[in-house]
Amino acid sequence: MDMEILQDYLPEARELLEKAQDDTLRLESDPNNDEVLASVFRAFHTLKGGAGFLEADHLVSWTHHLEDLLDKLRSHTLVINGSMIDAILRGLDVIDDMLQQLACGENPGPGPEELGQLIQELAAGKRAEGVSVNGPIESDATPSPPPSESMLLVSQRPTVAGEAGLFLERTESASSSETAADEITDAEFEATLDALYGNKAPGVTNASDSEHLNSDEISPEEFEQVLDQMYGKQAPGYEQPALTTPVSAKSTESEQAAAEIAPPTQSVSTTTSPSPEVTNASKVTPPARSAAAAQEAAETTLRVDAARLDAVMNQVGELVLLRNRLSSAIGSLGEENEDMLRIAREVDITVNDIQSTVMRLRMQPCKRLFQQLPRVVRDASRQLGKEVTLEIVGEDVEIDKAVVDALSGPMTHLLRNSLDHGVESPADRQAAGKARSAKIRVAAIHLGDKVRIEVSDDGRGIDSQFVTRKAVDKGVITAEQAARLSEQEAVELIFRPGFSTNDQVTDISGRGVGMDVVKETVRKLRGRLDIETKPGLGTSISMEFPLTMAVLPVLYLRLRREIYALPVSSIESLLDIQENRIHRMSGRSVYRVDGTEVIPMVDLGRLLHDRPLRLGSEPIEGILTERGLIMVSEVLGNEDSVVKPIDFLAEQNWYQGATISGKGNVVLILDAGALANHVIDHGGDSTIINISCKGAA
Amino acid sequence: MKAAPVFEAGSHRWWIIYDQDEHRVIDSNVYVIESNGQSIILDPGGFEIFPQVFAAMVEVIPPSSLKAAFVSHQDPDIASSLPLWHACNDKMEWYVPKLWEGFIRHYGALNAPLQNISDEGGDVMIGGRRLEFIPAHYLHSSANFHVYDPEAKILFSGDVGAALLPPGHDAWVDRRDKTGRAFEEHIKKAKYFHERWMPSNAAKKNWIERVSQLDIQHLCPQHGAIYSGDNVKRFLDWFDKINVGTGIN
Amino acid sequence: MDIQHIMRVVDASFAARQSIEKALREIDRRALNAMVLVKRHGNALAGYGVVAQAFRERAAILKTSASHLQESIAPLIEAYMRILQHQRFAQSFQEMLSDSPLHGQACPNLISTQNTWQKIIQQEEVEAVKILGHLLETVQQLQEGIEEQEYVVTNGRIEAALAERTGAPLMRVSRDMGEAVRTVAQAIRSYRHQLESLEHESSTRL
Repeated sequence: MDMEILQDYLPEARELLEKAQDDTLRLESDPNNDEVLASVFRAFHTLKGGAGFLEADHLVSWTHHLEDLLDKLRSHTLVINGSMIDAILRGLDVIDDMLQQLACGENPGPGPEELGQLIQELAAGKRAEGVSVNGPIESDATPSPPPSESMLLVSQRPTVAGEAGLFLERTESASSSETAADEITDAEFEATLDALYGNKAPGVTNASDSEHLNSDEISPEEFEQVLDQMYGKQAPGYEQPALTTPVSAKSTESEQAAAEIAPPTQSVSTTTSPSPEVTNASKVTPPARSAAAAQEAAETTLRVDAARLDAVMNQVGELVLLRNRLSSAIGSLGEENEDMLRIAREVDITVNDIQSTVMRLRMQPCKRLFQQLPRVVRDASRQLGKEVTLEIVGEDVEIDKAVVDALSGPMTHLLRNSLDHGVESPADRQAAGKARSAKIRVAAIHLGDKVRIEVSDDGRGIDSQFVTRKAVDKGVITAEQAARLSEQEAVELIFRPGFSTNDQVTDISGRGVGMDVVKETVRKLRGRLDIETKPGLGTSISMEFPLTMAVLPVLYLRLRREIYALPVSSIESLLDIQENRIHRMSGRSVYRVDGTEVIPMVDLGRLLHDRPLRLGSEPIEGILTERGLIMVSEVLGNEDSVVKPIDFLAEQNWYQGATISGKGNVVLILDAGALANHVIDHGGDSTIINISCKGAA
Repeated sequence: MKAAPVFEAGSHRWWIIYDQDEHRVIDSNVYVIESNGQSIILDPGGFEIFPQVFAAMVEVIPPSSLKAAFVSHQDPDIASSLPLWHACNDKMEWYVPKLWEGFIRHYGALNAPLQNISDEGGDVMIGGRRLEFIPAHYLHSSANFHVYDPEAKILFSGDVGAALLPPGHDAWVDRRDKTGRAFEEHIKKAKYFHERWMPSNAAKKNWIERVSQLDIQHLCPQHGAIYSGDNVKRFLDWFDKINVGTGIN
Repeated sequence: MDIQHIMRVVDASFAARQSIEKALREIDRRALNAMVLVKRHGNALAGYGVVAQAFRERAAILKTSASHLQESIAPLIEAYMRILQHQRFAQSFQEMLSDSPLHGQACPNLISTQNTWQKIIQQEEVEAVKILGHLLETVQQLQEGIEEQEYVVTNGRIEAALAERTGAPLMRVSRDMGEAVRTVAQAIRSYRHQLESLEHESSTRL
């Protein structure tokens, strides 16, 4: 296998696959969209071409049959129906598996025989009105036009413009009717050529052949082979993949137009609305890009290996740390040196610029994260017999690549969970006075230096008592702990490891790994996870992530002699601890922040030193975070820092990484959420403040 | 000299003023206890070092808070500054061993309000907290007292535990040393002092018996450095073993 | 030298230092609070970020000035206490002279020693006034630092007004900052009055 070709092929193939899946789902609501049909056809064709180069024979034959089916659809020889869409989608899954195998350096084995057979039969029109594979979906098949009876003649000769070209002629033939299913009409073929090359098809390589004016008769298969050999995946005019490269911001296409058409029959629909920041320019983009436009786009965008981007980010991280050390060193020089100060300031500004540029390089639209979701909802809703409309908002909101990469699994899980546990059956919904069809909304929202991703449904909500009972049954918490929990804390039990509310493990969710993994993923991405549920009305889970993972603004703090850091994003404000604001509530120390807000106290001395901080005996300052007031010895100052992961710590700990301070010391970065959670769990013994001196006075 | 906190719990604090700048007179530690805005000074020191003791003290407490002074025995390194303190604040009460009253007035404070402590000891209230005067006669003076603060768990032990340290010394015998090696190093500098200035093994034995009953976190001598935590027991064990009154053989 | 006047000044020094330290900690915390707030809003509050940064830097400078103040107070107190100490000697010689029936005529050495002590004390008083002058200069510097800080606070109010639409509670932050700065200014002002009255008394006597 040619590794170099493979390296080029895989990312492109995956993009094609994603696009094909999107397109296929769109065909459900818009079965007659020639544009989309042609796009899917091209995807299979290109996949096949590349696979040929790699000598992945099984992938070639698999994509060939799918290509074949699409070709019939594209030419309106067959009309698409639900079974076909199912088959194509499942076929795409098989290709995905095969790509995985290729990525592992293996030559893919044959696809599943039954499905292969089915696709071939569908393509042959034998099961055109056939049984649906995967549940009921109305087929809006119309009678196929009679198969055309023709032979194709292809010749290679110069065009009028003097460039080398391919010419095709059709001759009527009575004997061809038996193989009609495998043939294409000349009109279709012209269309293909146009789509492939636009108006300036490049020349063929074999000059001597081009002198031959005689046309030979070739079969369509042979023709395909010629095409594949000549252009393979490098066929010009395949502009789509190039436009969805990570560095391209304008990925929005003309989907809105298609999406605005009301879904006629099926239970899943997708609507996309761009965020207000993006101009409406994308709406006026012509549906079919000309080859010239594609060429232009290809020159301004660049496909870069993600590993290289990571390397650049790491190096910028080092630079940021060095900058911090420089600032610190110059700050401690004592005497003021104008030159040094100016240089330091300029270095500061330059490093900030580089940082934000690199940060932008790593940003990707949430579209990449969301595009798999319609399929997830479609499959799960059909399997569960539920009716769901999926609304996706903010596809063009950009976020760090690391978030996009890591969140794909959790997003799928959240949606499946919502479908499985949240959304009621249509009958139940009707009985509850709701619309039969449920609504799931996935949204990405840009908020200052954060991006929030929300998954919400209008289902039955989460019953906190039920959750608590389950948690106690499963030994996730003790009955004693359960009694202390607030409503919200009870609901949040679903994020605990080992918690799954379904007694019966289902295929959809409830595998016992799920919400805890979602939470852990969010934590690793330095994000925040929130859940809000209203019984009978629905549940909303929101995740907030820093805009970039490259730099982390931290606050340095001192606990006795040790220095720690806390991400600024988790800090609400800094407080002077006042003794008369400390209260005991159901075994916990709480702090009255203002008239109404009371928050648990998190004694860092007790947690990290096993020795509580003693108010009055040693200096104490408070850091107000969302879930607790963290008590420390002193707050030192802030810095833009870079996180270094630490892998030698136990799974359960208070840290989310380490950084190097301006003074060159390794400093552990505390995880405010984990600290607060610990106190909520072990409230009774976690915070005891020595206020006895007051009593003795 | 400089001041450092020994104990702090809300409005209840102990300070040590240590590391004298004048080296022609013996290096002494002065202690200040503050409780709810009132303070007492323990063994306020000699006439010669008064200016530096006073300057260091007013960094940690306002002079107007000073209500009393405690004098463990009659020596000049302990009480000869009396007239100067009295000039600054003539309301200050002086707690002195009854046996030494007439001697102490020789320092030039004929009119100062002296409060006698009888041989069996006594106590004083400062800012609502009780401090106990613990008899320590013949250690080394024939009428001698220590001060115990039961709340802070601190014993001011006068000349017991004293060590002769060079200028720039620390206020503590290393507290974090778990091995006891720091203590061993330190106690070498205390040995001669105890052998020479402490006259009575019987008084020593009796004192150890009584003091062992007390809960002591910090043992604060008037010369040298503070024994804290494990070092308190190490010192008592060491003191128990040593043969005193043997400086000249 | 009026020892009770000096005691009042020493008490005032203690109080002033405590309230300045506390207020400076407060200022530092306010500044850090503002910086955290700015960081949490991404680039939207960059303008206020500059102010917060300046505020914190100024607070650090004030802290340094305040520690210089402390460094000057201790020698002054020590100088006065040395005078007190030496006055004791002078006084005891004076007592000896006045107690003697010959009024010192028979003992010229005693008179000369008494005179020497008087001279030493006078020199020491001149020295003390010098230290006092130096302390007043430090106080002056601290006051100037506070004026600059007040200027930064004003800038902060302007920036806060400009950034009001972001919804960040910058106006409140600015108000808190202003309050903390005012507390220091007040403590310093009243302390300065104390020192000046002592200086006045000393120089009229010399």
